[in-house]
Amino acid sequence: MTSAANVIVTAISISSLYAIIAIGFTLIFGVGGVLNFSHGALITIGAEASYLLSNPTNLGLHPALGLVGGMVTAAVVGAILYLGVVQFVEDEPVTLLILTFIIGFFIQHACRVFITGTSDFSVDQVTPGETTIAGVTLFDIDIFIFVLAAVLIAATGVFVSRTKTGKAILAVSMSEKGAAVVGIDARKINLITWLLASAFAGIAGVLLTMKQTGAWSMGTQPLILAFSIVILGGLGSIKGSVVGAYIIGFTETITTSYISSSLQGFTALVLLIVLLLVKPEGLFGREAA
Amino acid sequence: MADRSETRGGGGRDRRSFLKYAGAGGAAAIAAGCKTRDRPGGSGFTTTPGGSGDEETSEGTPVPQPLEGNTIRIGSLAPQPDSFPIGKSIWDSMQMAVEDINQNGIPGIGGRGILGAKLEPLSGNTEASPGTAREEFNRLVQKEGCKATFGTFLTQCTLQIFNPMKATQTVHITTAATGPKPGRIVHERYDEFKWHFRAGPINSYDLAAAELEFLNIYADQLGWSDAAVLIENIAPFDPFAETLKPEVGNLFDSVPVFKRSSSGTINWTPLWDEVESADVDINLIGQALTGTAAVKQWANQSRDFEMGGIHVPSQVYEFWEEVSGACQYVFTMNAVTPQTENTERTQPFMKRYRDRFDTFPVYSGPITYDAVRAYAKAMGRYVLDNDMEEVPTNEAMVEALETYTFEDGIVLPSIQFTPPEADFAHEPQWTLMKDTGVPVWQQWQVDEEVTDDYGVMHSFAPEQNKTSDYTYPDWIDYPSDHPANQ
Repeated sequence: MTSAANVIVTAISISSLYAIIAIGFTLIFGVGGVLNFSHGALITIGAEASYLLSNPTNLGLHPALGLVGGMVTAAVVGAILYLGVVQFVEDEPVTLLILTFIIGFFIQHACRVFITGTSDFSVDQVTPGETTIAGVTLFDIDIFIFVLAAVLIAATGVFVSRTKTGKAILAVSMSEKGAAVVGIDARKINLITWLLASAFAGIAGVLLTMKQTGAWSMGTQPLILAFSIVILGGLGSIKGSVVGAYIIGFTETITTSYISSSLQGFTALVLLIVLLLVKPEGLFGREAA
Repeated sequence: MADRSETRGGGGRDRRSFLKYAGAGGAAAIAAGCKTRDRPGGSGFTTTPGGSGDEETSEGTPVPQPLEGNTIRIGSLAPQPDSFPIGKSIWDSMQMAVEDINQNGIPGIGGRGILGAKLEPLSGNTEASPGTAREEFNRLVQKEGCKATFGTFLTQCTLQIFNPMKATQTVHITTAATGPKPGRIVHERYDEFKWHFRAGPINSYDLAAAELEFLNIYADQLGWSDAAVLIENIAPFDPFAETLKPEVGNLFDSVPVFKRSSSGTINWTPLWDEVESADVDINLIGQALTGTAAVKQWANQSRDFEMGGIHVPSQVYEFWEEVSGACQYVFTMNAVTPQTENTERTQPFMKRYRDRFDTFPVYSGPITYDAVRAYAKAMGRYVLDNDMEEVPTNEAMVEALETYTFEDGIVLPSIQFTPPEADFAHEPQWTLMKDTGVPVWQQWQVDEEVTDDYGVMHSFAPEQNKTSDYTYPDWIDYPSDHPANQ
């Protein structure tokens, strides 16, 4: 039987990763009202970029550079996606939803065809090794993920609530017309949001690859998880996304550890269905409908 | 074998499909045993450096060339033969075998080609998909006129070509799939499906038996008292799990974990926590799809147990680089490694392959190389023994493959197919690992005497194919009396 301490450590680490993914997803929905189904593909982009940069079979750079490269590449692709596609169909939610869905698959399949094929791939960890605290062994990559997630969440909170751009993001998320009245360029704010959210997706992709491994289709499961998390926390709520990520992360870890490893990815779907039926508005946010 | 040579007519859809293609131009080639005849007067061979071949037998008489002027096409059925290591090894090795035969003749007989007949290899990409495998088989046989096909990775792919094999009466020799079902079908429905043979690897029941034999001999020596077993939950591993489950408990003090791990497992931390908590010495695995993630996380997390069994990714030479050496200490059974000397021909083949393709082949490569040469030799022997002057029919080739033993292998010294009466018919004869030398137990190691900048696929068992001692993970703290410290 796996010890409770191990389960908690694993759950915290994976929940932190989920939080990074979900915040990006919820930011785009909160500000632009877009359910971005290409978010999973941006996770793949980050992972693939880090593979090209830091895997020994490619450039072999330090994993930290792979992390930065993955983040930047995903952010750039996200920005291109917004400028090249999304901004033209922002007012057509169904078209937009279908487009992001298709583009997401297109990006992932492009990664399969042109970069890594169907095989799993790996990158070295930015912080290899382990640390023992109070008799519990913690992997340094898990500590890194936890700390980085905490920093990113806090920074996002400060950015949104304290900076001029952040307040503009809040304003656009509340009312695009109202924001326009006070001179806020909603398109520019949307672009910044896409950049930020895509960078988060890229970071998550690299960290997932460092912690586990990567694959061309690796973005699909996190996308479903992110969807479940933001439904749970409330669409558009950053606070809700963090809480939702920890609820999903802990539930999944406990079920896979104590019931069956085959339940990986399954628990989140069960929770999603139950929540949509029982509390569609989520714990903290607006109603999904 | 004569009493078994009658075949039933091809079944409905396959027969119609066959006739449709035949009507489009393939009928003549198929009726003539899928051979094409070169222009009169031309040998069909090109001269290549060093490839003159023996024009005389060892007794000094000229090698007869009764099949001169014929071209025999053979097909490779490989997944992504340009990139996927298992598929690439099949296709590359088929080309090497064909070139060897065309230049130097049949092993032990000489001449050029198969008694003068030129071999021509054609590539089919199965994409590791059963449906595509079937389409590619039909294309190679019915449109391209291939007389036989080789390869198929994944037993589902092999099974999908059974009906087309029957409809076209075409010999297929499997060289990369381990599922036992094809051999069972040949035994139970011989007249319909006698066209299928497997040159290797040994089937998964035999592989499981080999693992039990290995554990019986080596578990104590290596210091393994308690074991966990995690076998990926995919159909090809079913026989493996079935065989191990009732037996493995007799080989260890305890087996606290015996699980089928999900083929979708990405996060191995919970499972590794469970195995580590069970305080076992060795984690016996069967992994194909999830092997990369499992190994990477095992090494990154410096888990307190050794690991090995059947680990398909570790059989690929590039795996070391792919996982930045995380596979060091992981062991897997294999047919052959770049270091082993299964036979005197193994290392020369490995070196030639390396020189030509800048990598080493996966097990499917040497097996395909052996299969093509065994097929050619069976054809040559059949033609000579029967004083023939034409390419034998496929019916005759089944008889030839059942009759003759191929003594020039690079994986096994000799290949003899099991008879139709065997429970698994037309499979490579295999008794025990100790007797045959296969499977070999390969472990990724660091060995600066071989190379100082890459892992080495050493073999630590069985004795006749051993190239190095077993090594223990350097992050595990073993007691002083443990074999790791001896």
